[in-house]
Amino acid sequence: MVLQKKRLVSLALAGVLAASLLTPCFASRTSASAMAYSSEGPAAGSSELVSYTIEYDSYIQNNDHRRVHVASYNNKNPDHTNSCTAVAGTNIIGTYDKDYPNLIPNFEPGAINGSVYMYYPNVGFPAVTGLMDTLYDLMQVNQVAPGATEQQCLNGLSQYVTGKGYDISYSSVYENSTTVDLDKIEDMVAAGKVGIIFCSKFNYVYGFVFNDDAKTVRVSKANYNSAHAMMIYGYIVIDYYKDGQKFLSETYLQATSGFSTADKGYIKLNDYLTIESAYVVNISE
Amino acid sequence: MRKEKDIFELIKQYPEQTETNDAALQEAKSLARKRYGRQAQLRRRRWLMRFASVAVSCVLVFAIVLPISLLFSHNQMTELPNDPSGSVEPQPEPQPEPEPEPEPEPPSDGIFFLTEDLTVSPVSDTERLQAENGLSFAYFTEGALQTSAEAYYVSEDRSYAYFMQYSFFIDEFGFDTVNLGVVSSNNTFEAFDAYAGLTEELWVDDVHVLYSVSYADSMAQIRCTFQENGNHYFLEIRGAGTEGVIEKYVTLLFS
Repeated sequence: MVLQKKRLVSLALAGVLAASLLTPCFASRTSASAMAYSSEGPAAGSSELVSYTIEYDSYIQNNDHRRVHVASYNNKNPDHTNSCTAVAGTNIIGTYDKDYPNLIPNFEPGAINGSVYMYYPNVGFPAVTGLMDTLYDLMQVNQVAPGATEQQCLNGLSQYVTGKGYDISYSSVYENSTTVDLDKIEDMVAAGKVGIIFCSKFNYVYGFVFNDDAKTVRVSKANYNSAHAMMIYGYIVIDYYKDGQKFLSETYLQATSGFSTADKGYIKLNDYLTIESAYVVNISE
Repeated sequence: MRKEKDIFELIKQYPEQTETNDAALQEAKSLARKRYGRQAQLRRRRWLMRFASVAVSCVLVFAIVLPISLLFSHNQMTELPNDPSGSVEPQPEPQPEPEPEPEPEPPSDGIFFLTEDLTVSPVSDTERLQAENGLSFAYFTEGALQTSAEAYYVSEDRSYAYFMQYSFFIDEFGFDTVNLGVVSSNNTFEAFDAYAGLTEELWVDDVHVLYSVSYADSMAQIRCTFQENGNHYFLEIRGAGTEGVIEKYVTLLFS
């Protein structure tokens, strides 16, 4: 009898302790603005490679709202850690610098290649490294907590852009935790703009390998259970058909990874993903 | 999540309930006796024996029946005609069901590393990097307008993982951005997962190259991979042209 009473009391105490330990986690998850976005590569133990293969008879890839040419850099300063917001900001500024040249003074982020403007790759331009360092400071990365919050990120970006003599505003494209407002993304692409997304967990698709002979596609994908910010710049839809019927439709939001590998890839929507917020970044004269 | 939070709330309130409500305490004790008492143990043991005997019977049935049915069904499946059903989408002609492509397996003596397992350091002197780590691989030493390099290390023990070089090249047609990765072991890495499953192939001198080409907005993205002298090379080329591009960069790499 006494033993059972002790068990009940122990159970109750353990419950109270567990509840008190876990409550702050839930609280921080419900407050997107207070969450710090810190990953520049996935944190240890937070990621999983989940590549997969789809078999099809035919497929249709809709690229109407795809943007191919954007800037994609990585953090080359080994002293700077948890810098994904600064990297996303640098990609945004770098992309806009083509049309607003004072954003990165005395620097051209790309050149006309054939018939299109193509951005230079991630080769460690001093102007880009300097921009990233500046944004790192303006966004107060690692000053309050590891990484930067959404508010710190957007404030730092605004401060930089207005300091260069341009206007900046943000328009939300958030729809729910696993997708964005695709109509607004279409408008963003049509207007030549880019955006930013803040996720508390996310997936990243590095690329597709279509094998037209075998009628298969291999999707190279990883899931990350960490908070991360990325530049977004368009989307694609791939519909797969078998026996004359569409059996699968996948929508991929284009995003620069911000990882050390500076990938240009995709976030698979309606998948392993918790979007906290997403915005079109509007920069104007 | 809501369910978990509710359970925690209930547990938090539980001590107060037990202290102030004797009836509830008696009920809890009675339930505990039913659940954990001697009779309950016997009941559980009986159920366990029943479950075990059913499980053993199932395993025996499957072990005997399944191989026999598979043996008979195999011949029937291979003799089935193609499905003649019509298709809504434009189809060139009925195709046999493609075999599922197995995920590529890493070499038997290699280790797979996620990006999270690695740390990156800029490389200013690639020759020194190779000397310090006992490596011998090719990288772009000439022709690039600008280039930068990085080395990746396993965070846990700081052992060398792989080399990356980012470059861009200009010619009379425009410019190409070229990312080169070199792995000098049998280990495999998340960063090069997008190169798995490449099936197009060509030879550049005696180098066997597997590659894929995709196009977007007048630009081509080429991914190719090849091995040479024990090194695994991963080359991503973005540019306006595709004709002779792989040959050009593979030749330049080994020149």
